[in-house]
Amino acid sequence: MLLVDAGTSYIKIFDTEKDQLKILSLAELKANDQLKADYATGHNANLFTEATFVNELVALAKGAKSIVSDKDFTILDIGSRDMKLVKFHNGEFEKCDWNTSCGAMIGFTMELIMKYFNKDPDKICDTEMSFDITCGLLGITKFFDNISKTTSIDEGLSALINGLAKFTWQFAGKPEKLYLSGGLSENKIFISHMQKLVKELKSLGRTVLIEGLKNPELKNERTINSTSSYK
Amino acid sequence: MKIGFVGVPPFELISKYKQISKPSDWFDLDVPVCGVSKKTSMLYLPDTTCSVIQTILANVINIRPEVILAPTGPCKCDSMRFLLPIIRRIMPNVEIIECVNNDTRDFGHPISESALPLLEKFNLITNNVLELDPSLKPERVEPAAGFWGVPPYDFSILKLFPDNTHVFGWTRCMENKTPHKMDLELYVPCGLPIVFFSQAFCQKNILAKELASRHKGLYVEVDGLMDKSTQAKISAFLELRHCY
Repeated sequence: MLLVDAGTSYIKIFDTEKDQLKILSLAELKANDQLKADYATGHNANLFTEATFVNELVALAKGAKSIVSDKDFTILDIGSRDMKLVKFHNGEFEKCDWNTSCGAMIGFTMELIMKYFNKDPDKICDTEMSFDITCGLLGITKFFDNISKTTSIDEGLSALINGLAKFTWQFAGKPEKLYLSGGLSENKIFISHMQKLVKELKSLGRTVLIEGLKNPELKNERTINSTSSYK
Repeated sequence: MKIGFVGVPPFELISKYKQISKPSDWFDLDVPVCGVSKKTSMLYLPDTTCSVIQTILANVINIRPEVILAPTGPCKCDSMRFLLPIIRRIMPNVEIIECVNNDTRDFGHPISESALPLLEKFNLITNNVLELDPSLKPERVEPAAGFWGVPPYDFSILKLFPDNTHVFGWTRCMENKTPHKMDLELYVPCGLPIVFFSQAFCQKNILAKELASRHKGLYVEVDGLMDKSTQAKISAFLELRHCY
């Protein structure tokens, strides 16, 4: 069975028979015409026209619950385009949220700006400076405004990531313990800034949504090429 | 005589104007009209204006009512009060009846608690503003979910909910014909999974977010048409809270 988490920038494909995970960029995927999957979730899941679609928040909730043994926990998945939050209390689902407009584009912004300045995220200095920002795109405006004054590019990048980390923490409800997943959970400088805010931070990597697709009790499914609503 | 109205005008005012007009003369200015773009209003309003207020002004410009029944104050929203000087300036011949609805007679809210599909509930409630003797009294069902808020600009959001969804907030006040009744607007039962909806740039966002936080519900803010992510967020909430 092929399980796919088709994110905005990266596509995670898990083959359950081979127990093998493949991560492709969207550009690599589009060059490949073998767009097959049994279950698909994510922003670009529509590319897999024959797959059964699973809601991203449901996949995140089910995946997190199958990995985390805590009864009370919050998980935040940060992708290129958006942030998804699920909170459990006493082992039961309590809350979910999905930030796609303000606060969006955080992962995409960081990747874009690092590439633009040809910087390695692992080598960016760790400063206390922080921009007060509410979304990736507004963050870029503040970054360019600051580097036109006295701030160096490296300091500006660090302040940008620090600001994005603070916004992320606030979106999650300022928890003392937080599980992170998605592409940014593997970004060292982002994690370093998050660790200043969260007492206990655990990274679950990029495959939590794939874990959610392994759960056999999938409900609220729809075939992607259906034009009807989720109901 | 073309009569436009917004929100829920007072009982007496509706009765008075119903005597001198026929049903086809009435226009609910809150409701989007096919072929009338709300963007018509953008010449006069800032971009950060809620879709309902944009729709009202666009409808006024296109329908050109001779009389507008315009509730302002706690029964509607401050934006309506601020919209009136603009209407007076651009359409000086329109007679604007500015009013406050303080009606206290409770008409009940059987549609809000019925088993009808949520979309049908909203269609009935919003089409019944002028009906002063509502005869439809559907049977009550136990709720599996709740929808709190004003009638959304984009009714497609309502298709996501199961039929046994109860209506709360200002829409329930609307059915009860007491749009100023804050205690009814604030009422939600404990433990029921509820989506607290507000139109973007509406002051009711403050209330929606607070109530969602207090009742562990889902706060949703939508500007104009609902996007795919908001749709997915609501579906996930209803599924994970076992409402389907």
